Amino acid sequence: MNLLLTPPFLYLVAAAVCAFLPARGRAILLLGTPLLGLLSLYLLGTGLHASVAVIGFELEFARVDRLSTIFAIIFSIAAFLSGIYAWHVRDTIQQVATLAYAGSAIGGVLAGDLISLFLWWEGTAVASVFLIWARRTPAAYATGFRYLIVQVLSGMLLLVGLLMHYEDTGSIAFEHLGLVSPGTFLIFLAFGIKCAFPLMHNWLQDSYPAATVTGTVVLSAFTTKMAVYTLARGYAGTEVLVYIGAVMTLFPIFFAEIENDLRRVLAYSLNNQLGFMVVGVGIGTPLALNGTAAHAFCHILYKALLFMSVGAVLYRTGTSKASELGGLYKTMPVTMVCCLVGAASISAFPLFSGFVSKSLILSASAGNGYYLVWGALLVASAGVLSHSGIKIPYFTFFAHDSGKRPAEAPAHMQIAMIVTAVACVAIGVFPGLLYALLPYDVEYHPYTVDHVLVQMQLLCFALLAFVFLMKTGRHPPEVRAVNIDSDWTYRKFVPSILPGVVTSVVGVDRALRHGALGAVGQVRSGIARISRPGAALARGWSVNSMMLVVMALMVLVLVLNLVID
Amino acid sequence: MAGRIVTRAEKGKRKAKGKGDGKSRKKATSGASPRQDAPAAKVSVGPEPTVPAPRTATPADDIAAPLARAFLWVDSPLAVQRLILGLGALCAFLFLFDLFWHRHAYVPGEGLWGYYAIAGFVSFTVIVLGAKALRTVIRRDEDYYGSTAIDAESYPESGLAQVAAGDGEEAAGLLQVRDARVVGLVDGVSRADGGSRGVEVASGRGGATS
Repeated sequence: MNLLLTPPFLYLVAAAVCAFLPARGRAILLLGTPLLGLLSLYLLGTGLHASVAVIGFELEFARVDRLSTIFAIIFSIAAFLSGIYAWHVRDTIQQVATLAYAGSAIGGVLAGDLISLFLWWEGTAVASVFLIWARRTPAAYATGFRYLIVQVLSGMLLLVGLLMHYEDTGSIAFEHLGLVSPGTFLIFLAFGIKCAFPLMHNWLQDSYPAATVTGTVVLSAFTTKMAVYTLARGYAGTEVLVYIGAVMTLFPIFFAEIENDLRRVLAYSLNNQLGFMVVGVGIGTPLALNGTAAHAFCHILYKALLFMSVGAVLYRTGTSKASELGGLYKTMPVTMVCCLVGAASISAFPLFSGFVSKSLILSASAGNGYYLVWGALLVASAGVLSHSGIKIPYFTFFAHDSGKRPAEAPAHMQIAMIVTAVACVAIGVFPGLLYALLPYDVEYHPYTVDHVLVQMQLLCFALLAFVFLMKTGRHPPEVRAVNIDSDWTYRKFVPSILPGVVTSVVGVDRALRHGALGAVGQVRSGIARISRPGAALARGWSVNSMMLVVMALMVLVLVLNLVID
Repeated sequence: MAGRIVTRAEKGKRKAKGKGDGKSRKKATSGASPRQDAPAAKVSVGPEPTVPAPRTATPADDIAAPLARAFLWVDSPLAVQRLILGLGALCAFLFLFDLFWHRHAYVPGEGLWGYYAIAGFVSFTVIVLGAKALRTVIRRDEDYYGSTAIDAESYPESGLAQVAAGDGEEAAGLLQVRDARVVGLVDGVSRADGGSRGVEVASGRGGATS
């Protein structure tokens, strides 16, 4: 098939065309391209398409199999939904960036070799940063640069890793890699950065709240889930991922709980949800990988829905800070109901999408003997309810009345949210729709009495705990503040000690040079002293003593020859 | 447009309300005042106009969209009390259900009576209290990162459409809560002032839109 007709290139062509269209045409293109991409994906069918030979390498731009297909489909759906949500946007830069970004992400999941993966990998980084810069404030520029540096660093690690891997194996195929060599370790790190592994996660919480109202919805869908896909492709069954994932599910919930900016709460929550997927990849069984793919699918939808609803609130009130919001349900009820559907979905209430996907991963972890990890996921499930299930809708739309009475979200935003909400419920009610797309054939029934019962027990008692904490005044209030995270090290700590470090390094350097110069001076004056008229070197020497010296030198050379050999 | 004018005209009757963040309320009110002076001149055509801040609400002319009518009870302490009691009853039911239903356990201890209930309650409590403790260590002022972070800056207005309810096209069919004591929904504890019961459509709003 023609290279340009494969989904990723369709998006790139659309992005190029988009720049020259009038506003309405651009908005239509944003909706049409994902549909064309899906059609192209359908027509391609399973197999390797669009192979291109470049300087002796065979690049595979369209590897369509069941694992890549489900990601390509959900990416297309996310692009389409964000297109509806961003119908009002007239900013060409954002629209072009969205198309290029979505295309790169789809290219990433369809890449059959590491070199084309690298190209798309960098494509997502470069295209997506414009969604942050499009906010057009000094802070957004600074944040965008921080984001770009981390993303490009990930790309560099991937490049070096793939070169080392090629040296080792002579292959650039992107198949199962495993942690077997320095090269694959670097590739793993590159994937880990984009997947927001613990301590590599800060770019996510830093940048997503800084993007535009619509940009954050777009950002939330692609980069991290592309990384989840690459981990599933290259590192399925790598046990360390189980523990990395477990930590990822746990630590962000504490930060999310006390974060004031609701879009950052959602970014932490996104990080926590990625943890579930990474655990699934780490377990690596068909059930677990199905869980990862299913959870990525559901997650993209409900996370987009939550970002859309908070975005709509931001669009109407000018703030997404919990401390400034409250009581909005009166005039934004559609947004509120959609937000509640998103909250119920991410909290995995029965009949909502999170329930039918998260349970695959929990079942896999229990079934494979990862009991501690299973416990961590259980705690994290309660944590999800606390920050995404309760905090987001409660402090935005209910809680104390902020007095704000914004108008309901514009019609196109409402449509985008309602469609997404319906999708969340449809998947929850008819899980077979989703399960049919999963990479492996696994028989799984989420709606057993056992399962519904334990999930309801967990969630209802967690809700009860929320009531208890609110009633007793123990729930932390929403306050205007920021919370430092590990990015404090490179945003504050290192810059703060840098002048001191530079001064001391300069001082040590100066002292060392001074000492060295002094020593050279001493040697010079010493030589001058012994070569003065009448001194040792300037005296006339007898032939005998000359011969003695020559002999000694020759013996030394002989000995050295023996020793060094 | 008539309905909206009526809505705005009634703003004059607003009484100051002691609730909420005084600072932001004040700002919002002052932003809305020029529009009160010349309501008839306001014609919203095409893209939504940007206004400094949404208008604030007072009990006298509080508004609610049609769909929100089904949720007005959340402002009533008694209704919330009932909701909590309902949640308690559901929890009790789920807890007792464990007695009669034998769950198949995959993880050691999972089969114990009330395992998930306790796990849910304890996890949630530990997370919230843990986060609260964490806040004492990691909390900083909003402008801690200065101009390199978005925390202290406001979202640029050009990217927003801050329309107050009742001011844009979206206001079609907006309801006016003359008295939040909605029949059969709210017991009337939260907003005691006002006489008539029920929710009324802002006069003429629906028909005059076209």
